[in-house]
Parts: sequence; structure tokens; C-alpha cells
Amino acid sequence: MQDQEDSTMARRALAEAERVREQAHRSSRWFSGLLAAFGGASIIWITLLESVWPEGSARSYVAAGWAVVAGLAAVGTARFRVFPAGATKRMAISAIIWFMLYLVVIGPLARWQLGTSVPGWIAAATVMAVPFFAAAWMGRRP
Amino acid sequence: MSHPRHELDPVIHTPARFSIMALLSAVERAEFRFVRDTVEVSDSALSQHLTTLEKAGYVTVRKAQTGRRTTTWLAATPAGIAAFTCHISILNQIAAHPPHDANAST
Repeated sequence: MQDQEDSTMARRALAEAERVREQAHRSSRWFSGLLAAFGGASIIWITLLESVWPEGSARSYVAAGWAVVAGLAAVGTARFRVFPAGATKRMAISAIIWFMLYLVVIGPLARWQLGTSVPGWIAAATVMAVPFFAAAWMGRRP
Repeated sequence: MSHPRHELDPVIHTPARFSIMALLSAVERAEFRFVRDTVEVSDSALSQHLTTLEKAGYVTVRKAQTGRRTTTWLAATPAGIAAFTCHISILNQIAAHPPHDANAST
């Protein structure tokens, strides 16, 4: 009899844990959206920087624009009440990989091979944004 | 052979604290009001449970200034996550425990 009660109590507790975890997961979906938005913004930013305005003062403004976007995103996240597990790690790893790809691998290669071709830079920037999209996709479901 | 119920963590076993740990072990951090609303407890009850969990080393409580408002962030520690994972595995054992097995062992 005691065993039956224990078993029922355990099942109820496990169901409650599932309910709470589901609620937490639903409330932290915004983070995947943020990562995907970063990926999209990075494509636009790199294309503008490398292809549309590759020289002159406009390039400096575009470069500074990225800092503004990142700053606004940081302020915007403060209004969210839940951060998903591994959020900081996912953001840091995807940003570092993206930056290294831009600085060391695909950036120099695209500059050498594509010049200022808009379609070429859109394609290169999309490849570089893959870490953001992958991190967003990984956060869809625990 | 002792029943797995004796291995349940007494700090986490309380229903409210169990729900708090279930929530915090699934996130990096959550705001005090979100935990309060999800677990469905009052501010004072949540504060009391958090004090117990903090003393056990299972959660951290951090206050941050957001504009003019103070936000209280709650997070589970690695020890808290390990304790909760262990608690869940024991609950799974109990839930799957056929009653006749216990009768046979006593």
C-alpha cells in the first residue's frame, strides 16, 4: 500500500517537473530568435561593409553601427525574465566562431576572390552567419 | 534492501522547493517574479524556500540594477543541478517500482 502511494507521489512530482520545465522552455524561446536575428543582422552588416560601402566614411559609420546593434540587443535582453540553459556559452561560442571566420578564413578569402560583388558577399556572409543559426536551432528543444 | 524513498534529498523533497529546482535546473537564470508565478507561491514563501536552497548550496541569488528597478536573478548551482538530477532518477525508480517487489523484500 505504501509502495502504491510512493509510486503515485513520484509520478505526480515527475509530471510537475515536466510542467515547470516546459514553461521554462516556452519562456526562453526568445533567445533562439535573438541568435537568428544576430545571424541575419551580420549578413546585412558584412554585405554593407564589404560590398556596398567598402571605402570612405560610410564604412566607418556601418562599422560603428554593429556596436550600436549589439548594445541595443544587450539592453533589450534585460526585459526578458528567463535565460535558457547555456545561453551565455551559446552566444559567446557562435560570436567567436563568426568573428574568426570573418577575420581569418572566409573574410580574407572573399575579399581576394570576390572583390565587392554583392551576391558574392551575401553568400559569404551567410556562410559566416551559420554559427548563429546553428546555435539558434540547437536551442529549439532541450 | 532499503526502499529508494530513503535516498530522496530532504531539501528538494518539499513540493515548492522541488518545483523551484525543476525550473532552475532547466534554465541558465530566471527572474524572481517568473519563478514565483510559475511555481505559484507568494513572495515571502519563495524567499524562505530560496534561503533554504541557498544554505544547501543549490541556488545562487543575485541582485542587478536594471534602470531604476532592482532585478533578482536566481540560478541553480552545479551542486544543485547534480542533486536535482539524482532526486529525479530516484523518483523515476520509485515510479517504476512494482508494489509486489517491495512486499517480497520486506
